[in-house]
Amino acid sequence: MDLYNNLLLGFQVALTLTNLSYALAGALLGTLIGVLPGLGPVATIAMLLPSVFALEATPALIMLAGIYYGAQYGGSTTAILINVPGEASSVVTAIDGYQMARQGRAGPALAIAGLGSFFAGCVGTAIIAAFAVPLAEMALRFGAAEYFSLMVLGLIGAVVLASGSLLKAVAMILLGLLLGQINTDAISGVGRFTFDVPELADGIGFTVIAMGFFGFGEIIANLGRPQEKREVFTTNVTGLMPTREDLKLAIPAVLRGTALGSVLGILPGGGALLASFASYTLEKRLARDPSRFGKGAIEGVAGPESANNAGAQTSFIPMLTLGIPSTAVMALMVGAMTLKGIQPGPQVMTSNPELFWGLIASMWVGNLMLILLNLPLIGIWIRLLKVPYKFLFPAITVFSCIGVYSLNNNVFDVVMTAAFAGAGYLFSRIGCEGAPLLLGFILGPMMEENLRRALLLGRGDWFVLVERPISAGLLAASALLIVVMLLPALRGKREEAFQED
Amino acid sequence: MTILRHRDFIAGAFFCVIGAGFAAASTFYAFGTSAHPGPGMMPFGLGLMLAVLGAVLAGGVVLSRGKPDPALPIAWRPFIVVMGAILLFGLLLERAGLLLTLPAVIATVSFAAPEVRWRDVAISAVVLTAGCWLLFIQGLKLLLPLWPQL
Repeated sequence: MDLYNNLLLGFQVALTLTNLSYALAGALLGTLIGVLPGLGPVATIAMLLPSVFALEATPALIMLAGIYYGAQYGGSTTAILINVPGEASSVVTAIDGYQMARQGRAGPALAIAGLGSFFAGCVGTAIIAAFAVPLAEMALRFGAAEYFSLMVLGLIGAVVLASGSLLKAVAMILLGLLLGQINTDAISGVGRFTFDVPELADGIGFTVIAMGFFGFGEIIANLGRPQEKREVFTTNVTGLMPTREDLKLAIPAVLRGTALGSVLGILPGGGALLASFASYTLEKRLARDPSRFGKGAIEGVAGPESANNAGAQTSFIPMLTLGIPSTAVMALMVGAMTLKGIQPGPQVMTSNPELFWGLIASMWVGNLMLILLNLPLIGIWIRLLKVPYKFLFPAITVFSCIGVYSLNNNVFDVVMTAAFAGAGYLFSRIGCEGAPLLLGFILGPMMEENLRRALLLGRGDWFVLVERPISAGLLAASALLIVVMLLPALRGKREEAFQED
Repeated sequence: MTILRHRDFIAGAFFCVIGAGFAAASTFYAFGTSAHPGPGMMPFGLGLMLAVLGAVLAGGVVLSRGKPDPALPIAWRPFIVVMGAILLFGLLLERAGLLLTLPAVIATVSFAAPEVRWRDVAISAVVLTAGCWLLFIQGLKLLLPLWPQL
C-alpha cells in the first residue's frame, strides 16, 4: 500500500508540465548524444551541471537521468545503422544489428531494440521502486565499517568490469584514490598535497577530471584516428514491424536480457556494459544454431539491448538508497544533488520524497516518451549522423570550457582540465582506462572518512571491519570476487568477452 | 629498447614513481595511531600499494620477455592544440570576455583537425558564440564576463 502511495506521489510530481518537459528535454538530448559518436553521457552531464544552478532540484535531476537512459537508446541506433556504437554498452548490438541492417532489416532491428529497451526500462524502474524502501531502511543501520566495506566491494567490482588488464585497472583505482587525497583532511584540518595552492584546499573538482578524461581526452583520440568512411543505411529503413518469427526469437531473449541486466546493473562500476556482453554470450550459448550470430541474429540485438537498459535503470539503486555513486554518471548526479543542497543517502527518501519518487516515476515516463518519439524520429537522428565531426568538436570544446569554468567561476579549474585532458589521452595510449580512476577518486574521500571513523569507534582495532556481520559479509564477497577473477578458466573467458571491444 | 616502449612497462614505471612520490610526501603529515589515524596514514598506504603494483607490472615485462606490445603512437597535433585551446580559454576569459574568447578558442581548436577550412571555422565561430550567449547568458543566466575588462 505504501508503495502505491509513494508511486502516486511520484507520478503527481513527474506528470506536472514542467517536469514532463524536462524529462522530454533530457530524453531527446540523451538520444542526440547517444547518436553522435564521441560524445558520451558523462561529458554531456558534466557540461550541463551549470544549468543545475538555474533549475529546481527535481526537474534538474529528472533531466540528467533522462540524458543517461536516452543515451542508451541513441547508442543502439548508430550501432545498428552504421556499425558505430554511440555508447560503450551498444558495442555488442553492432555485431548482429549492423548485419541485420545490411540485409535490409534495419527496421525490425531498430524496433526490437526499442521495444526491448522499453520493456527492460519498465522492469528496471519497478525494481528500483520495490527495492528502494527496504534497502534504504537497511542502509540506515549501516555504520562506518559497513560503508567502508561496501565501497571496497564497489571498487573491486569496478576492476572486474574494466576491460583492459586487471593490474592496470587496480593501479588506476589506486591513483584515483590518491588524487582524492589532495584536499584538506576532514578530521585534522591539515591541507594535504596542496602545496599551499588555495584552489586545491577543497580538492580537485570531480568535473575537472571527468571533463578532461571523457570530454577532451576523447576529442584528442578521435582526431588522432585516421578518418573512417561511414556507410549509412538510410534508404533501407522501411517497415518497422518485426515478423512473427522475429518475435518468437526475440521475446525470450528480451526477458533473459532484462533479468541479467537488472541484477548486474546493481553492481558498482558500470553494470550496463557488462550486462550487454553477458547477455550476448548467453544468447549465443542458448541458441539452437549459434552460427547465426554475427550474421544478423535478432536475439543478438534483443538480449543485449534489454540488458543494458535494465542495467542503466538499476544502477540508480546504490546512488538513490546509499548515496554511493557506482558509475561516473551517478557521481555527477550526486554532484548535482549536492549543488542543490541535498545530501545524498538513505535519508533523501524521507527528507525529499517528492524528489525521490518523482525521479523514479519520471524514468518510466521518460522511457515511454523515448519509445513513442524515437521510432518515428529515426529519420531525423539519421540525418544528424551526417553532421561532420569538424563542426562537433569545436562545439564540445567551448561548451566544456564554459561548463568547467562556471561551476566555481575559477580559471584554475580550466587549467587543471587541460592537464587532465592530456593525461587522459596519454593513459589511453598505454592501455589504462579512465573509468576506474574516476570511481576511485569519487569514493576515496568517503572511504577514508569511514575507515578512520570505524577505527576510532573500534579503538584502533582493525578487526572491527570483520566483527560486524554485514561488513564481514561485504568483505567476504570482495575477497570471493578477487579469487573468482584470478581463476584461470574465468580469466580467459573475461578476456574473451572484452575482445570485441 | 622494446622493453622501454612496452605499454605495461611505461605504465608500471609511471605508477611506481607516482606511488613512491605520494608515499614519501605523506611522511610530512602525522601518521597517527590506528586508534587515532592521522592525515598521513591513508596516502602513505595507498602510495606504497601503487608503487608495489607498478613495480610488479614493469617487472613482469622485464622478466617475461613476452611479445612486444608497444604504447600506441601519440597524435601530437590534436594533443597539443586541444590542450592549448583549453589554456587559451582560461587565459583570455576573465581578461577579454566571453564574446572575444570564444571565437579565439574556436579558431585555435580547429587546428587540431588534419584539415582546416576557414569558411567552416568562421561558421563555427559565429554560430557557437551566438549560441553560447543565448544558452548560457540569456537562458541559464550565468554570470560570465562578456566584454574586455578595462
